Amino acid sequence: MSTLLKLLRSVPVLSSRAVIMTSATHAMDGPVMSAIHLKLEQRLTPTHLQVINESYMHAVPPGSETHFKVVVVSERFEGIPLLQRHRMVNDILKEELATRIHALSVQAKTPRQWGAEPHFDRSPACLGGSKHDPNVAVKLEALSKD
Amino acid sequence: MECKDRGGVIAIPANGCQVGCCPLRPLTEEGETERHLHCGIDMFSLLRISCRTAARRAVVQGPRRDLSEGAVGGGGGGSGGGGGTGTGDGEGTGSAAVAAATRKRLDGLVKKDKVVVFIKGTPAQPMCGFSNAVVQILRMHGVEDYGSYNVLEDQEIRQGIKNYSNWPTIPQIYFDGEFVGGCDILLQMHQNGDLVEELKKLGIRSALLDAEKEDKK
Repeated sequence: MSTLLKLLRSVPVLSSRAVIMTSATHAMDGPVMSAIHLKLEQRLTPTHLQVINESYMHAVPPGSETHFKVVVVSERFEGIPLLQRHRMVNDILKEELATRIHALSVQAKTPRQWGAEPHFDRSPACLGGSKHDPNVAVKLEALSKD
Repeated sequence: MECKDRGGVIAIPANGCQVGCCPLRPLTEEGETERHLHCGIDMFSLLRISCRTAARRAVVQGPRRDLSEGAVGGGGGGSGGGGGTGTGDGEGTGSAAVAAATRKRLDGLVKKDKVVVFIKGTPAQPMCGFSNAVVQILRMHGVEDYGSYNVLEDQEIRQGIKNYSNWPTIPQIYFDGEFVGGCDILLQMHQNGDLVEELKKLGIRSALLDAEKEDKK
């Protein structure tokens, strides 16, 4: 149970290991991460945006761009229910979701919500599902053809 | 083209099978697709299925590319050898008919139970961290009786449910036939107390309320 509580507890942004892999390190941005960043910037004009490549946490080869977390804080989410916020993000990234991204975790907050609680939830541990998943293989292949 | 193992005619998508992790290592690059469908091994369950079923699945679920000539053998291979997709339409009436049948089937599934989840794996053995999180959250709230469908065992459901809810990922959660969201949303609902309220509307008392009561004693 305590492991589960750790899973569900939010972690402060600065101490999250995932921060190292965020889009702040522009030199390391792959094409998928760049596209995600650009599209979300353009369409949501966020006050805070983190695009985290979490592929390293899953059973895919190093350098993959298949599993992402996006933390997006935008005024445009004001008054919008949570499900609709996620749908907005999904819609913006629909091309990437169809062809490249296998998993997408979304944290969508208004500036007010982010101000009150400026941290996001860590993603759960991989259980190896991507390893023998043909759907993931298709997306990996697309990446290697770049 | 003719199946060498079992006879009969099968259709192979023009760009072939894209499955890089197929356990059946081919002799040659070109041989890969043929081998994959010929031996009638279902690429997901590794169970033996008929060539017709394999070809039908490849046509229905394959990448959106031009298909080679030759419709899937008329009369349909839906004998359900590999853990059946069970659309039963098998007349080669086209993808629209398949989509409609799948939609109807999913409509039935999401309404069958108050709480329904589409996950990778099963509640006893989830195969994905996000799916596992959903199972654990429901367990924390004492929700053990719910409909659970393993998308890894049924490609028709796996793609179909994404079209049905217009949501690109698994897991997916439904309350009273209505799409609620994925793992992130369920987690947030759990954290902010909304989940307890939503379960209450379904007539389910969250176990956390009892746990709270115990704490206060």
